Amino acid sequence: MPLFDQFYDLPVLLVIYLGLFRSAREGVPVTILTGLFMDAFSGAPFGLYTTTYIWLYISIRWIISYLHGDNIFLLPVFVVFGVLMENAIFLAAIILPDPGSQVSEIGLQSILTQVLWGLCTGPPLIVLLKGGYRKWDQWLKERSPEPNGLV
Amino acid sequence: MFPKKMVMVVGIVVLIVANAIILSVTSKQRCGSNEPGRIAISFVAPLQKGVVHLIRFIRGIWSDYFFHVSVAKENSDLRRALNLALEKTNQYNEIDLSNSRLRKLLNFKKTIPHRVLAGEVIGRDPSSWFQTAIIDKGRSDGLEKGLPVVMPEGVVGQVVEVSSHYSKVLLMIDRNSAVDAMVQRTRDRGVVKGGSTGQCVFKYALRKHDIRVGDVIVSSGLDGVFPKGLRIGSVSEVVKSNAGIFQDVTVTPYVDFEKIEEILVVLNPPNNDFVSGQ
Repeated sequence: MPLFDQFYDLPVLLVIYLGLFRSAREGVPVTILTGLFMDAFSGAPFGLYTTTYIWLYISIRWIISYLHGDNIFLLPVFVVFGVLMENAIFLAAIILPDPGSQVSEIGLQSILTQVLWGLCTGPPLIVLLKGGYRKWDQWLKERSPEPNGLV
Repeated sequence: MFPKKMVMVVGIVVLIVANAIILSVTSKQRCGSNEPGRIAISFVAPLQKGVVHLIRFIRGIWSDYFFHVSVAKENSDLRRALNLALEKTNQYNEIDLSNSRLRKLLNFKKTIPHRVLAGEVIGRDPSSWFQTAIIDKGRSDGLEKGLPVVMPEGVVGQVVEVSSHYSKVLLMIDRNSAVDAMVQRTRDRGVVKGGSTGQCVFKYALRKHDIRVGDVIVSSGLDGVFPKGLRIGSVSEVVKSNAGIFQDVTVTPYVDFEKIEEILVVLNPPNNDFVSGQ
């Protein structure tokens, strides 16, 4: 089982970022659209990715009401949580319709590999995403016309 | 006593005469032993050798510098040409491999008594829990939902979603896939379902059936989807538990699902033939 074949789902990082740093007005539509996009490509039951991303987004928003989302040391925790949550929902979607089915050792190894990849690459990618969005926001602000008058 | 001028003139004359005499003597003795010459050489030659080496060294540095500059340029030109040649060779290798795969596909196409359409796999499922593939053929090419997808090696899967130009294929190794099959040797029937490890399971094989490791599993054609007799895989493990009426049979597919690139979609599967034959 080649290591790189068991990579985690990258849009999970986007959902985590949206949950941590963006408003609900931005986060919810992007999360839903991302989920629909992934559902179109996947052989999973349609709506599974959308469901997963929405619940992940809601969970992240709930968690940051108790924890500081800006804390860089918590990013690995959020990433691992996201990867595990997605895999848990997928497994539930596989096992619940067919209670006799089992998760093989390879499946569990796959989850572990995904978690390890998430720990190594997730936090830096989220930081990159945050930096990129900040630059984008700055660029937009510079190009938007100044409001007339004072508020 | 003698004026200075006269002494000088006499001295010059004597010198010239002596020089002429010596020269005439030494010119006659050129090939013979010449002791003064040898003595002179032994003093002058080392000095001459040193000077010549120095001149050659300087000249060598100058010419080497220009030589290396031109060699360096030639080197980079040759490297660029080599890289282009390697790239071309790689392209030819790819074309050669693609050619042999397509020949195999074409030969296989001739053996199937059904209309088939070749397609290329352009994408795979993003999740490792589900096994699907996207192909570059769709409704505009005559595809419909439910059509079987095969390769020369064996059964690949079934078309589950169709758009205008692309389709999604549920691979045989997906948990949701099921192919009505039989053991080629004994004709015992069962259903091949996808497993979780890239292998398949031959389900509903009764315990009384004689199934052995190495047996070939083929499609039975009775599901109305896959033509009869298409290779599916070989039995890799048989477990007969003490309880239950079925035995657990693991099947290793013949198709290497990690490497599928070109596939064939059967456009007129047997259910159409069956219906028209009634």
